[in-house]
Amino acid sequence: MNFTEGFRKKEFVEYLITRIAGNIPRKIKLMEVCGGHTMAIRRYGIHSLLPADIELLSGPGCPVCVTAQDYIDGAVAYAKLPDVITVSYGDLLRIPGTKSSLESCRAGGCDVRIISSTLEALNIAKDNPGKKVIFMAIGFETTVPGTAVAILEAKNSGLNNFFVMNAHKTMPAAMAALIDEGIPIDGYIGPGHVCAVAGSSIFNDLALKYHVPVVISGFEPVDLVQAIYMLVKMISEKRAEVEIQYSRLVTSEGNRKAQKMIEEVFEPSTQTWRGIGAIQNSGLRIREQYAAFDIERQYPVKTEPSEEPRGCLCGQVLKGLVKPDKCKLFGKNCTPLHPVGACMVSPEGACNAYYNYRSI
Amino acid sequence: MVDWPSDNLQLLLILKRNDMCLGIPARIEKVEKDYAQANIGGAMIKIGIQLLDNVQTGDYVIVHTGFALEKISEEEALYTLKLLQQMKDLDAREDISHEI
Repeated sequence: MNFTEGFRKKEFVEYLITRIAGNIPRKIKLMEVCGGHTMAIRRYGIHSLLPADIELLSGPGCPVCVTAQDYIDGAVAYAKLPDVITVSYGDLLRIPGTKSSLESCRAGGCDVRIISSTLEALNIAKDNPGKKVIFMAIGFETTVPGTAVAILEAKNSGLNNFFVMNAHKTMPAAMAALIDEGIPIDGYIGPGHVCAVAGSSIFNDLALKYHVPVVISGFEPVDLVQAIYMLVKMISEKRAEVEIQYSRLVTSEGNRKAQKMIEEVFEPSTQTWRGIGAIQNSGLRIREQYAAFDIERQYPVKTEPSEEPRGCLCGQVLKGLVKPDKCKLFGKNCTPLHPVGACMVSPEGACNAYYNYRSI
Repeated sequence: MVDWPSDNLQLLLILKRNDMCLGIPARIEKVEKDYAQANIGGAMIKIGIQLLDNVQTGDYVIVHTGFALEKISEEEALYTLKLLQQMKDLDAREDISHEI
């Protein structure tokens, strides 16, 4: 079956837009949490099809964007050590740290390699027994299982030169923190692939406590427009529940096998988010019995205090407080080729998506 | 670990750029213990299937950072589309009856 064709049908999008327009009770603000959603909305121009009463805010769901500055500085410090191979997903390399990015570090002679799966990292570790291979483990519930599998396989095969610099985050607490901060959000477009792993039930408490509806959405145009319709409907009926639009992939309990692997290796912890700061229970820490793979516990490094780039509003963009094109640097000093801040680097970053799919 | 298709530059770029929320639908072609050969838009890629039970040839999965995250339900996909079509048809009929 072709899973994209039906979910890109123009007639469905047009129909759902009319239904949205007919049901909208007042001016509302919806936040798409996932960077993949930001990208899809901008790419297909969905924001421009919606009635003027709906405002879409981009949220803190771009993994590299929310990675704190001191993590980048730490990563650069590790990369500069002798006999170290740093391996990372591609996006992270270009995030500017206080003094350097991993990319410029690589240009200066450090061994920094891009991987697209943790299994590649394990192979690099096996092929280079004399070196420490450090995997930059960032991302949400979608990338955590890959890290968990790698740590479990490294332990089973007695691989002792594979390490993880961990900054894994989880979504629900951050979404609650935004509402606590007073950001007006009438509904959340929930992250589809996060929920494929963790299940849509992770948002039940959020919906109940803050009386905010959440709809877990897929990534095609029809998916997003249908999710927005479901949110509008719940808002007009004054319901605040967790509903699943992306039912071909997401269930309320999620992938139990993946969750068990994550629970085996990780435990909930406080994590620091760019722009938001430290949030309790918004991340994962490697459990004590797997501490041998945690580079920061095995070989701590000292870094200078971190500084955010001057004039960059990435932190506020991530909270939905500022639209990317309202930043003074946007499109002038800060472009995807020469990014000042993290949100312009990643294709999932709000600034990058606004720039790449801007109207001409 | 991943056998890169040399003839599919676009796919290579997508996977190497690695947008982290981006999951790609793939069809399982061959299962080999913890791994599988998956067909992504015509290119064969070796992926990890450690996160799923009972993966079989012909299953559709979402691939994310080299792992199959979850199976895609063809039944649910068709159901969603059918429901949309019915809603749309029903509304169109009501519009006509209003006009009459």
